[in-house]
Amino acid sequence: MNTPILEVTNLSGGYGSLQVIWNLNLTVHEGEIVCLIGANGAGKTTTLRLLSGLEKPMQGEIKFQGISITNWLPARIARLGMTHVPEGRNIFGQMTVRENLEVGANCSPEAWRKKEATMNYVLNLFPILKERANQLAGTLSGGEQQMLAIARALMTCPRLLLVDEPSMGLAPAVVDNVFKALREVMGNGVAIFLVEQDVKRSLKLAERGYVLENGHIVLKGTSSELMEHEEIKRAYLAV
Amino acid sequence: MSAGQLFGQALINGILISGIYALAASGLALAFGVVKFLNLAHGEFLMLAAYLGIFLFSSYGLDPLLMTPVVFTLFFILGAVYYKTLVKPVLKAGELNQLLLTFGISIFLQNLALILFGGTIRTISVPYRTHTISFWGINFGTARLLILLLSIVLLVGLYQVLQRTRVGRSIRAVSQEPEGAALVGIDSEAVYLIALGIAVGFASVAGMMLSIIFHAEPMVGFNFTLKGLAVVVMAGLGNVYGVIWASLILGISESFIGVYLPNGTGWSGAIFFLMILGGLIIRHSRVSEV
Repeated sequence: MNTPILEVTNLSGGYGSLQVIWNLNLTVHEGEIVCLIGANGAGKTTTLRLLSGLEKPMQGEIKFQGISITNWLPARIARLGMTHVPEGRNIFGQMTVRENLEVGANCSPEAWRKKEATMNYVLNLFPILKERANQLAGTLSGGEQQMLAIARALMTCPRLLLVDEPSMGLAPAVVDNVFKALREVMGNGVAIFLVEQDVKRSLKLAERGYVLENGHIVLKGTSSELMEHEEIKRAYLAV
Repeated sequence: MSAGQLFGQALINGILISGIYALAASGLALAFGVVKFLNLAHGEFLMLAAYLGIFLFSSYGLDPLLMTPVVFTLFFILGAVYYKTLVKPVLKAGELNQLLLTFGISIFLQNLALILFGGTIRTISVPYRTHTISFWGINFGTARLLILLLSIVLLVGLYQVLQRTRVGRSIRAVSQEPEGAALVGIDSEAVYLIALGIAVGFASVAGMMLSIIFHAEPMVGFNFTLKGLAVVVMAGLGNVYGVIWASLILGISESFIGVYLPNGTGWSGAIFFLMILGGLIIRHSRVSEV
Protein backbone atom coordinates (compact mmCIF):
# COMPACT_ATOMS: atom_id res chain seq x y z
CA MET A 1 0.00 0.00 0.00
CA ASN A 2 2.86 2.41 0.63
CA THR A 3 5.08 2.27 -2.48
CA PRO A 4 3.48 3.99 -5.47
CA ILE A 5 3.36 1.64 -8.47
CA LEU A 6 2.42 4.53 -10.74
CA GLU A 7 3.66 8.05 -10.27
CA VAL A 8 2.62 10.78 -12.68
CA THR A 9 4.22 14.20 -12.41
CA ASN A 10 3.13 17.34 -14.28
CA LEU A 11 1.80 15.36 -17.22
CA SER A 12 0.48 17.36 -20.16
CA GLY A 13 -0.68 16.04 -23.48
CA GLY A 14 -3.26 15.91 -26.21
CA TYR A 15 -3.59 15.31 -29.90
CA GLY A 16 -1.25 17.13 -32.27
CA SER A 17 -1.15 20.74 -31.12
CA LEU A 18 -4.44 20.42 -29.25
CA GLN A 19 -3.70 20.22 -25.55
CA VAL A 20 -6.25 18.24 -23.56
CA ILE A 21 -4.45 17.40 -20.32
CA TRP A 22 -2.77 20.01 -18.12
CA ASN A 23 -0.16 19.31 -15.41
CA LEU A 24 -1.61 16.11 -14.08
CA ASN A 25 -0.22 14.71 -10.82
CA LEU A 26 -1.44 11.39 -9.56
CA THR A 27 -0.27 8.20 -7.88
CA VAL A 28 -1.55 4.66 -7.67
CA HIS A 29 -0.19 2.33 -4.98
CA GLU A 30 0.38 -1.42 -5.12
CA GLY A 31 -2.86 -3.37 -5.09
CA GLU A 32 -5.33 -0.50 -4.76
CA ILE A 33 -8.18 0.70 -6.93
CA VAL A 34 -8.09 4.37 -7.83
CA CYS A 35 -10.69 6.00 -10.01
CA LEU A 36 -10.60 9.00 -12.27
CA ILE A 37 -14.01 10.56 -12.66
CA GLY A 38 -15.24 13.42 -14.74
CA ALA A 39 -17.76 14.46 -17.32
CA ASN A 40 -17.70 13.62 -21.01
CA GLY A 41 -14.76 15.32 -22.70
CA ALA A 42 -12.91 16.06 -19.47
CA GLY A 43 -9.86 14.17 -20.77
CA LYS A 44 -10.23 10.84 -18.97
CA THR A 45 -9.60 8.66 -22.00
CA THR A 46 -6.73 10.88 -23.11
CA THR A 47 -5.15 10.47 -19.69
CA LEU A 48 -5.21 6.69 -20.07
CA ARG A 49 -3.89 6.88 -23.64
CA LEU A 50 -0.97 8.98 -22.36
CA LEU A 51 -0.27 6.51 -19.56
CA SER A 52 -0.22 3.46 -21.83
CA GLY A 53 1.91 5.15 -24.47
CA LEU A 54 -0.74 5.39 -27.19
CA GLU A 55 -0.22 9.17 -27.16
CA LYS A 56 3.08 10.94 -26.58
CA PRO A 57 3.06 13.40 -23.67
CA MET A 58 3.91 17.06 -24.29
CA GLN A 59 5.66 17.28 -20.96
CA GLY A 60 5.88 15.66 -17.58
CA GLU A 61 6.98 12.27 -16.36
CA ILE A 62 5.34 8.88 -15.95
CA LYS A 63 7.05 6.45 -13.59
CA PHE A 64 5.92 2.85 -13.33
CA GLN A 65 7.45 0.62 -10.65
CA GLY A 66 10.10 3.28 -10.19
CA ILE A 67 11.11 3.25 -13.88
CA SER A 68 10.54 6.30 -16.06
CA ILE A 69 8.39 5.10 -18.97
CA THR A 70 7.73 8.50 -20.54
CA ASN A 71 7.80 8.14 -24.35
CA TRP A 72 7.95 4.34 -24.27
CA LEU A 73 6.03 2.43 -26.92
CA PRO A 74 2.72 0.86 -25.79
CA ALA A 75 3.91 -2.74 -26.28
CA ARG A 76 6.96 -2.13 -24.09
CA ILE A 77 4.83 -0.56 -21.35
CA ALA A 78 2.48 -3.55 -21.45
CA ARG A 79 5.42 -5.92 -21.16
CA LEU A 80 6.58 -4.07 -18.04
CA GLY A 81 3.23 -4.83 -16.40
CA MET A 82 0.86 -1.93 -17.07
CA THR A 83 -1.98 -3.05 -19.33
CA HIS A 84 -4.65 -0.80 -20.77
CA VAL A 85 -8.19 -2.08 -21.40
CA PRO A 86 -9.27 0.51 -23.94
CA GLU A 87 -12.66 2.09 -24.37
CA GLY A 88 -13.29 0.48 -27.76
CA ARG A 89 -12.20 -2.87 -26.27
CA ASN A 90 -10.09 -3.61 -29.37
CA ILE A 91 -10.60 -7.34 -29.22
CA PHE A 92 -9.53 -9.51 -32.15
CA GLY A 93 -12.91 -10.11 -33.78
CA GLN A 94 -11.83 -12.76 -36.28
CA MET A 95 -10.15 -14.90 -33.64
CA THR A 96 -11.80 -17.17 -31.09
CA VAL A 97 -12.14 -16.17 -27.46
CA ARG A 98 -9.42 -18.66 -26.54
CA GLU A 99 -7.07 -17.29 -29.20
CA ASN A 100 -7.67 -13.75 -27.93
CA LEU A 101 -6.56 -14.89 -24.49
CA GLU A 102 -3.55 -16.74 -25.88
CA VAL A 103 -2.43 -13.57 -27.67
CA GLY A 104 -2.54 -11.81 -24.29
CA ALA A 105 -0.22 -14.46 -22.89
CA ASN A 106 2.30 -13.70 -25.67
CA CYS A 107 3.12 -10.51 -23.78
CA SER A 108 6.12 -11.67 -21.79
CA PRO A 109 7.99 -14.88 -20.98
CA GLU A 110 6.46 -14.74 -17.50
CA ALA A 111 2.92 -14.46 -18.88
CA TRP A 112 3.57 -17.34 -21.28
CA ARG A 113 4.89 -19.56 -18.48
CA LYS A 114 1.78 -18.90 -16.40
CA LYS A 115 -0.55 -19.19 -19.41
CA GLU A 116 -2.57 -22.22 -18.28
CA ALA A 117 -3.01 -21.03 -14.71
CA THR A 118 -4.01 -17.51 -15.77
CA MET A 119 -6.37 -18.92 -18.38
CA ASN A 120 -8.14 -20.99 -15.72
CA TYR A 121 -8.27 -17.97 -13.46
CA VAL A 122 -9.85 -15.63 -16.01
CA LEU A 123 -12.30 -18.26 -17.25
CA ASN A 124 -13.47 -18.74 -13.67
CA LEU A 125 -13.67 -15.00 -13.24
CA PHE A 126 -15.89 -14.75 -16.33
CA PRO A 127 -17.59 -18.16 -16.71
CA ILE A 128 -19.49 -16.99 -19.79
CA LEU A 129 -16.16 -16.82 -21.65
CA LYS A 130 -15.60 -20.50 -20.91
CA GLU A 131 -18.84 -21.29 -22.73
CA ARG A 132 -17.81 -19.07 -25.61
CA ALA A 133 -14.18 -20.23 -25.73
CA ASN A 134 -14.30 -21.49 -29.31
CA GLN A 135 -16.57 -18.78 -30.66
CA LEU A 136 -15.26 -15.89 -32.75
CA ALA A 137 -14.83 -12.87 -30.50
CA GLY A 138 -16.64 -10.64 -32.99
CA THR A 139 -19.85 -12.58 -32.37
CA LEU A 140 -19.90 -11.83 -28.62
CA SER A 141 -22.32 -9.38 -27.06
CA GLY A 142 -21.05 -6.02 -25.82
CA GLY A 143 -20.82 -7.20 -22.23
CA GLU A 144 -19.01 -10.38 -23.19
CA GLN A 145 -16.57 -8.37 -25.30
CA GLN A 146 -15.87 -6.11 -22.32
CA MET A 147 -15.21 -9.18 -20.18
CA LEU A 148 -12.96 -10.60 -22.88
CA ALA A 149 -11.01 -7.33 -23.08
CA ILE A 150 -10.40 -7.42 -19.31
CA ALA A 151 -9.61 -11.14 -19.39
CA ARG A 152 -7.17 -10.67 -22.27
CA ALA A 153 -5.45 -7.88 -20.36
CA LEU A 154 -5.18 -10.13 -17.30
CA MET A 155 -3.46 -12.78 -19.44
CA THR A 156 -0.47 -10.42 -19.66
CA CYS A 157 0.02 -10.79 -15.87
CA PRO A 158 -0.21 -7.05 -15.21
CA ARG A 159 0.75 -5.28 -11.98
CA LEU A 160 -1.55 -2.41 -12.88
CA LEU A 161 -4.66 -2.45 -15.01
CA LEU A 162 -5.88 0.72 -16.70
CA VAL A 163 -9.59 0.29 -17.36
CA ASP A 164 -11.48 2.74 -19.54
CA GLU A 165 -15.26 3.03 -19.08
CA PRO A 166 -16.05 -0.65 -18.48
CA SER A 167 -19.73 0.20 -17.99
CA MET A 168 -20.09 1.90 -21.37
CA GLY A 169 -23.18 0.71 -23.19
CA LEU A 170 -23.79 -2.25 -20.91
CA ALA A 171 -26.92 -3.34 -19.04
CA PRO A 172 -26.77 -2.66 -15.27
CA ALA A 173 -26.70 -6.36 -14.38
CA VAL A 174 -23.70 -6.88 -16.68
CA VAL A 175 -21.96 -3.84 -15.17
CA ASP A 176 -22.43 -5.41 -11.74
CA ASN A 177 -20.66 -8.50 -12.99
CA VAL A 178 -17.76 -6.56 -14.44
CA PHE A 179 -17.31 -4.49 -11.28
CA LYS A 180 -17.45 -7.59 -9.12
CA ALA A 181 -14.70 -9.11 -11.27
CA LEU A 182 -12.57 -5.97 -10.95
CA ARG A 183 -12.87 -6.17 -7.17
CA GLU A 184 -11.73 -9.77 -7.29
CA VAL A 185 -8.81 -8.88 -9.53
CA MET A 186 -7.77 -6.24 -7.02
CA GLY A 187 -8.03 -8.85 -4.28
CA ASN A 188 -5.39 -10.80 -6.18
CA GLY A 189 -2.90 -7.98 -5.82
CA VAL A 190 -3.39 -6.19 -9.14
CA ALA A 191 -3.74 -2.43 -8.84
CA ILE A 192 -6.48 -0.84 -10.93
CA PHE A 193 -6.75 2.66 -12.31
CA LEU A 194 -10.35 3.03 -13.36
CA VAL A 195 -11.86 5.68 -15.58
CA GLU A 196 -15.63 5.92 -15.32
CA GLN A 197 -18.60 8.11 -15.90
CA ASP A 198 -20.66 6.10 -13.42
CA VAL A 199 -19.37 8.07 -10.46
CA LYS A 200 -21.41 6.42 -7.72
CA ARG A 201 -20.38 2.95 -8.72
CA SER A 202 -16.69 3.79 -9.15
CA LEU A 203 -16.44 5.56 -5.82
CA LYS A 204 -18.01 2.53 -4.17
CA LEU A 205 -15.41 0.27 -5.76
CA ALA A 206 -12.34 2.48 -5.42
CA GLU A 207 -10.44 3.51 -2.34
CA ARG A 208 -9.41 6.87 -3.68
CA GLY A 209 -10.40 9.09 -6.55
CA TYR A 210 -9.39 12.04 -8.69
CA VAL A 211 -11.84 14.40 -10.34
CA LEU A 212 -10.91 15.67 -13.78
CA GLU A 213 -12.46 18.81 -15.25
CA ASN A 214 -11.38 20.30 -18.57
CA GLY A 215 -8.07 18.50 -18.37
CA HIS A 216 -7.24 19.61 -14.83
CA ILE A 217 -7.45 17.61 -11.64
CA VAL A 218 -9.75 19.74 -9.49
CA LEU A 219 -10.31 17.42 -6.57
CA LYS A 220 -8.81 14.34 -4.99
CA GLY A 221 -9.37 12.31 -1.90
CA THR A 222 -10.60 9.06 -0.47
CA SER A 223 -13.84 7.76 -1.91
CA SER A 224 -15.82 8.57 1.22
CA GLU A 225 -14.47 12.14 1.26
CA LEU A 226 -15.39 12.59 -2.38
CA MET A 227 -18.84 11.10 -1.91
CA GLU A 228 -19.55 13.63 0.82
CA HIS A 229 -18.18 16.56 -1.16
CA GLU A 230 -20.87 19.08 -2.05
CA GLU A 231 -19.56 19.68 -5.59
CA ILE A 232 -19.48 15.97 -6.35
CA LYS A 233 -22.92 15.42 -4.91
CA ARG A 234 -24.35 18.21 -6.99
CA ALA A 235 -22.52 17.56 -10.26
CA TYR A 236 -22.20 13.79 -10.43
CA LEU A 237 -24.37 12.06 -7.88
CA ALA A 238 -27.48 14.15 -8.52
CA VAL A 239 -28.59 14.37 -4.90
CA MET B 1 -8.07 -35.43 -78.63
CA SER B 2 -11.75 -35.70 -77.72
CA ALA B 3 -13.81 -32.74 -76.56
CA GLY B 4 -13.82 -34.15 -73.05
CA GLN B 5 -10.08 -34.57 -73.03
CA LEU B 6 -9.60 -31.03 -74.32
CA PHE B 7 -11.80 -29.72 -71.54
CA GLY B 8 -9.94 -31.80 -68.98
CA GLN B 9 -6.57 -30.67 -70.29
CA ALA B 10 -7.60 -27.01 -70.16
CA LEU B 11 -8.87 -27.46 -66.60
CA ILE B 12 -5.70 -29.25 -65.46
CA ASN B 13 -3.43 -26.68 -67.10
CA GLY B 14 -5.31 -23.93 -65.28
CA ILE B 15 -5.04 -25.69 -61.93
CA LEU B 16 -1.34 -26.42 -62.44
CA ILE B 17 -0.46 -22.76 -63.03
CA SER B 18 -2.60 -21.43 -60.18
CA GLY B 19 -0.05 -22.56 -57.57
CA ILE B 20 2.43 -19.91 -58.69
CA TYR B 21 -0.30 -17.30 -58.71
CA ALA B 22 -1.36 -18.22 -55.19
CA LEU B 23 2.22 -18.11 -53.97
CA ALA B 24 2.88 -14.72 -55.53
CA ALA B 25 -0.47 -13.28 -54.43
CA SER B 26 -0.34 -14.56 -50.83
CA GLY B 27 2.74 -12.42 -50.26
CA LEU B 28 0.93 -9.34 -51.53
CA ALA B 29 -2.09 -10.23 -49.40
CA LEU B 30 0.06 -10.72 -46.32
CA ALA B 31 1.83 -7.39 -46.79
CA PHE B 32 -1.48 -5.64 -47.30
CA GLY B 33 -3.48 -7.48 -44.65
CA VAL B 34 -0.90 -7.25 -41.87
CA VAL B 35 1.34 -4.29 -42.64
CA LYS B 36 -1.34 -2.35 -44.59
CA PHE B 37 1.30 -1.93 -47.23
CA LEU B 38 0.64 -2.17 -50.96
CA ASN B 39 3.85 -3.38 -52.53
CA LEU B 40 3.98 -2.64 -56.26
CA ALA B 41 7.56 -3.90 -56.33
CA HIS B 42 6.43 -7.36 -55.20
CA GLY B 43 6.85 -8.90 -58.67
CA GLU B 44 10.39 -7.62 -58.97
CA PHE B 45 11.43 -9.97 -56.18
CA LEU B 46 10.03 -12.79 -58.33
CA MET B 47 12.05 -11.49 -61.25
CA LEU B 48 15.28 -11.33 -59.24
CA ALA B 49 14.71 -14.86 -57.93
CA ALA B 50 14.01 -16.13 -61.47
CA TYR B 51 17.42 -14.80 -62.56
CA LEU B 52 18.96 -16.39 -59.46
CA GLY B 53 17.35 -19.72 -60.37
CA ILE B 54 18.75 -19.53 -63.87
CA PHE B 55 22.18 -18.55 -62.57
CA LEU B 56 22.25 -21.38 -60.02
CA PHE B 57 21.30 -23.97 -62.61
CA SER B 58 23.42 -22.79 -65.52
CA SER B 59 26.54 -22.07 -63.45
CA TYR B 60 26.43 -24.76 -60.78
CA GLY B 61 23.85 -27.24 -62.05
CA LEU B 62 21.78 -26.72 -58.90
CA ASP B 63 18.08 -27.52 -59.30
CA PRO B 64 16.06 -24.38 -58.47
CA LEU B 65 13.30 -26.36 -56.72
CA LEU B 66 15.80 -28.08 -54.44
CA MET B 67 17.32 -24.69 -53.61
CA THR B 68 13.97 -23.40 -52.31
CA PRO B 69 14.86 -23.47 -48.57
CA VAL B 70 18.10 -21.58 -49.15
CA VAL B 71 16.56 -19.02 -51.49
CA PHE B 72 13.53 -18.54 -49.23
CA THR B 73 15.80 -17.83 -46.27
CA LEU B 74 17.91 -15.43 -48.33
CA PHE B 75 14.88 -13.51 -49.60
CA PHE B 76 13.23 -13.57 -46.16
CA ILE B 77 16.23 -11.62 -44.92
CA LEU B 78 16.06 -9.38 -48.00
CA GLY B 79 12.38 -8.74 -47.20
CA ALA B 80 13.24 -7.84 -43.62
CA VAL B 81 15.93 -5.41 -44.80
CA TYR B 82 13.48 -4.03 -47.37
CA TYR B 83 11.03 -3.39 -44.54
CA LYS B 84 13.58 -1.73 -42.27
CA THR B 85 15.14 0.53 -44.86
CA LEU B 86 12.40 1.44 -47.37
CA VAL B 87 8.95 0.36 -46.18
CA LYS B 88 8.97 1.53 -42.58
CA PRO B 89 9.68 5.21 -43.30
CA VAL B 90 6.62 5.53 -45.59
CA LEU B 91 4.19 3.37 -43.61
CA LYS B 92 2.68 6.27 -41.70
CA ALA B 93 2.76 8.60 -44.69
CA GLY B 94 -0.29 7.20 -46.43
CA GLU B 95 -1.13 5.08 -49.46
CA LEU B 96 -0.06 7.53 -52.15
CA ASN B 97 3.48 7.63 -50.77
CA GLN B 98 3.58 3.84 -50.62
CA LEU B 99 2.42 3.56 -54.22
CA LEU B 100 4.89 6.14 -55.49
CA LEU B 101 7.77 4.59 -53.59
CA THR B 102 7.09 0.98 -54.56
CA PHE B 103 6.32 1.89 -58.17
CA GLY B 104 9.67 3.68 -58.25
CA ILE B 105 11.48 0.69 -56.75
CA SER B 106 9.76 -1.54 -59.29
CA ILE B 107 10.98 0.55 -62.23
CA PHE B 108 14.43 0.85 -60.69
CA LEU B 109 14.80 -2.91 -60.28
CA GLN B 110 13.50 -3.59 -63.80
CA ASN B 111 16.08 -1.25 -65.27
CA LEU B 112 18.80 -2.56 -63.01
CA ALA B 113 18.06 -6.04 -64.36
CA LEU B 114 18.11 -4.66 -67.88
CA ILE B 115 21.59 -3.20 -67.33
CA LEU B 116 22.97 -6.23 -65.51
CA PHE B 117 21.41 -9.07 -67.50
CA GLY B 118 20.31 -7.44 -70.77
CA GLY B 119 16.86 -7.59 -72.30
CA THR B 120 17.07 -11.10 -73.70
CA ILE B 121 14.83 -13.85 -72.43
CA ARG B 122 16.79 -16.44 -70.48
CA THR B 123 15.70 -20.01 -70.01
CA ILE B 124 17.12 -23.17 -68.54
CA SER B 125 16.25 -26.77 -69.24
CA VAL B 126 16.04 -28.78 -66.08
CA PRO B 127 15.99 -32.51 -66.90
CA TYR B 128 12.25 -32.84 -66.18
CA ARG B 129 11.18 -29.70 -68.04
CA THR B 130 9.59 -31.53 -70.97
CA HIS B 131 8.69 -34.69 -69.11
CA THR B 132 4.98 -35.45 -68.75
CA ILE B 133 2.78 -37.97 -67.01
CA SER B 134 -0.51 -39.01 -68.64
CA PHE B 135 -3.79 -39.98 -67.05
CA TRP B 136 -6.94 -40.63 -69.07
CA GLY B 137 -5.34 -38.96 -72.04
CA ILE B 138 -4.59 -35.78 -70.12
CA ASN B 139 -0.99 -34.66 -69.84
CA PHE B 140 0.46 -33.47 -66.57
CA GLY B 141 3.77 -31.67 -67.04
CA THR B 142 6.04 -33.10 -64.35
CA ALA B 143 7.68 -29.75 -63.68
CA ARG B 144 4.31 -28.04 -63.30
CA LEU B 145 3.03 -30.82 -61.08
CA LEU B 146 6.07 -30.52 -58.79
CA ILE B 147 5.59 -26.77 -58.68
CA LEU B 148 1.94 -27.08 -57.74
CA LEU B 149 2.80 -29.58 -55.01
CA LEU B 150 5.48 -27.27 -53.60
CA SER B 151 3.04 -24.34 -53.68
CA ILE B 152 0.45 -26.36 -51.79
CA VAL B 153 3.03 -27.41 -49.19
CA LEU B 154 4.14 -23.80 -48.66
CA LEU B 155 0.62 -22.36 -48.51
CA VAL B 156 -0.61 -25.05 -46.11
CA GLY B 157 2.52 -24.36 -44.07
CA LEU B 158 1.73 -20.65 -43.99
CA TYR B 159 -1.85 -21.28 -42.87
CA GLN B 160 -0.71 -23.67 -40.17
CA VAL B 161 1.77 -21.09 -38.92
CA LEU B 162 -0.93 -18.38 -38.92
CA GLN B 163 -3.50 -20.59 -37.19
CA ARG B 164 -1.52 -22.62 -34.74
CA THR B 165 1.65 -20.89 -33.65
CA ARG B 166 2.38 -18.05 -31.27
CA VAL B 167 3.90 -15.90 -33.94
CA GLY B 168 0.97 -16.66 -36.26
CA ARG B 169 -1.53 -15.52 -33.67
CA SER B 170 0.47 -12.36 -33.13
CA ILE B 171 0.47 -11.71 -36.88
CA ARG B 172 -3.32 -12.11 -37.04
CA ALA B 173 -3.79 -9.98 -33.94
CA VAL B 174 -1.77 -7.10 -35.38
CA SER B 175 -3.65 -7.46 -38.66
CA GLN B 176 -7.05 -7.24 -36.98
CA GLU B 177 -6.43 -4.72 -34.22
CA PRO B 178 -2.99 -3.07 -34.25
CA GLU B 179 -3.78 -0.94 -31.20
CA GLY B 180 -5.30 -3.82 -29.24
CA ALA B 181 -2.24 -5.93 -30.04
CA ALA B 182 0.17 -3.21 -28.89
CA LEU B 183 -1.76 -2.86 -25.62
CA VAL B 184 -1.15 -6.52 -24.75
CA GLY B 185 2.54 -6.20 -25.45
CA ILE B 186 2.86 -7.41 -29.04
CA ASP B 187 5.75 -5.84 -30.87
CA SER B 188 4.21 -4.80 -34.18
CA GLU B 189 7.65 -3.99 -35.59
CA ALA B 190 8.68 -7.63 -35.28
CA VAL B 191 5.39 -8.76 -36.80
CA TYR B 192 5.75 -6.41 -39.78
CA LEU B 193 9.31 -7.59 -40.32
CA ILE B 194 8.24 -11.24 -40.34
CA ALA B 195 5.24 -10.58 -42.59
CA LEU B 196 7.35 -8.75 -45.18
CA GLY B 197 10.01 -11.46 -44.88
CA ILE B 198 7.48 -14.20 -45.63
CA ALA B 199 5.94 -12.15 -48.45
CA VAL B 200 9.27 -11.60 -50.21
CA GLY B 201 10.35 -15.17 -49.41
CA PHE B 202 7.24 -16.56 -51.09
CA ALA B 203 7.79 -14.27 -54.07
CA SER B 204 11.28 -15.68 -54.43
CA VAL B 205 10.01 -19.27 -54.44
CA ALA B 206 7.52 -18.32 -57.15
CA GLY B 207 10.44 -16.77 -59.05
CA MET B 208 12.45 -20.00 -58.82
CA MET B 209 9.44 -21.81 -60.24
CA LEU B 210 9.26 -19.33 -63.10
CA SER B 211 12.87 -20.05 -63.98
CA ILE B 212 11.95 -23.71 -64.48
CA ILE B 213 8.70 -23.57 -66.45
CA PHE B 214 8.92 -20.08 -67.92
CA HIS B 215 11.85 -17.73 -68.28
CA ALA B 216 13.57 -14.71 -66.79
CA GLU B 217 13.55 -11.25 -68.30
CA PRO B 218 13.45 -7.80 -66.67
CA MET B 219 9.68 -7.36 -67.07
CA VAL B 220 8.60 -10.85 -66.02
CA GLY B 221 7.83 -9.83 -62.45
CA PHE B 222 5.57 -6.89 -63.10
CA ASN B 223 3.04 -9.13 -64.78
CA PHE B 224 2.88 -11.10 -61.56
CA THR B 225 2.37 -7.95 -59.51
CA LEU B 226 -0.67 -7.19 -61.68
CA LYS B 227 -2.01 -10.73 -61.61
CA GLY B 228 -1.30 -10.91 -57.90
CA LEU B 229 -3.25 -7.68 -57.40
CA ALA B 230 -6.15 -9.17 -59.37
CA VAL B 231 -6.16 -12.22 -57.11
CA VAL B 232 -5.86 -10.12 -53.98
CA VAL B 233 -8.68 -7.79 -55.02
CA MET B 234 -10.91 -10.71 -55.86
CA ALA B 235 -10.09 -12.53 -52.60
CA GLY B 236 -10.82 -9.37 -50.63
CA LEU B 237 -7.92 -7.02 -49.94
CA GLY B 238 -5.55 -8.63 -47.49
CA ASN B 239 -7.47 -11.88 -47.19
CA VAL B 240 -4.74 -14.52 -47.24
CA TYR B 241 -7.24 -17.38 -47.18
CA GLY B 242 -9.28 -16.22 -50.17
CA VAL B 243 -6.12 -16.17 -52.30
CA ILE B 244 -6.37 -19.91 -53.04
CA TRP B 245 -9.72 -19.92 -54.79
CA ALA B 246 -9.11 -16.57 -56.48
CA SER B 247 -5.85 -17.96 -57.92
CA LEU B 248 -7.68 -21.06 -59.13
CA ILE B 249 -10.26 -18.89 -60.86
CA LEU B 250 -7.53 -16.82 -62.52
CA GLY B 251 -5.51 -19.86 -63.64
CA ILE B 252 -8.50 -21.81 -64.92
CA SER B 253 -10.14 -18.90 -66.74
CA GLU B 254 -6.85 -18.02 -68.43
CA SER B 255 -6.49 -21.59 -69.54
CA PHE B 256 -10.06 -21.92 -70.85
CA ILE B 257 -9.93 -18.66 -72.73
CA GLY B 258 -6.62 -19.72 -74.25
CA VAL B 259 -8.14 -23.00 -75.46
CA TYR B 260 -11.67 -22.06 -76.47
CA LEU B 261 -11.50 -18.50 -77.77
CA PRO B 262 -10.15 -17.76 -81.22
CA ASN B 263 -6.79 -16.07 -80.69
CA GLY B 264 -7.41 -17.05 -77.09
CA THR B 265 -3.83 -16.98 -75.80
CA GLY B 266 -3.74 -13.25 -76.49
CA TRP B 267 -6.97 -12.65 -74.60
CA SER B 268 -6.08 -14.86 -71.66
CA GLY B 269 -3.35 -12.43 -70.68
CA ALA B 270 -5.98 -9.76 -70.11
CA ILE B 271 -8.37 -11.77 -67.95
CA PHE B 272 -6.83 -10.40 -64.76
CA PHE B 273 -8.07 -6.93 -65.70
CA LEU B 274 -11.58 -8.30 -65.69
CA MET B 275 -10.93 -9.87 -62.31
CA ILE B 276 -9.75 -6.57 -60.86
CA LEU B 277 -12.76 -4.83 -62.33
CA GLY B 278 -15.21 -7.49 -61.15
CA GLY B 279 -13.53 -7.73 -57.77
CA LEU B 280 -13.69 -3.98 -57.23
CA ILE B 281 -17.35 -3.81 -58.21
CA ILE B 282 -18.40 -6.74 -56.05
CA ARG B 283 -16.25 -5.93 -53.05
CA HIS B 284 -16.20 -2.18 -53.31
CA SER B 285 -15.89 -1.40 -49.64
CA ARG B 286 -14.43 -4.43 -47.96
CA VAL B 287 -10.98 -4.75 -46.47
CA SER B 288 -10.30 -8.15 -44.99
CA GLU B 289 -8.06 -9.27 -42.21
CA VAL B 290 -5.83 -12.27 -41.89
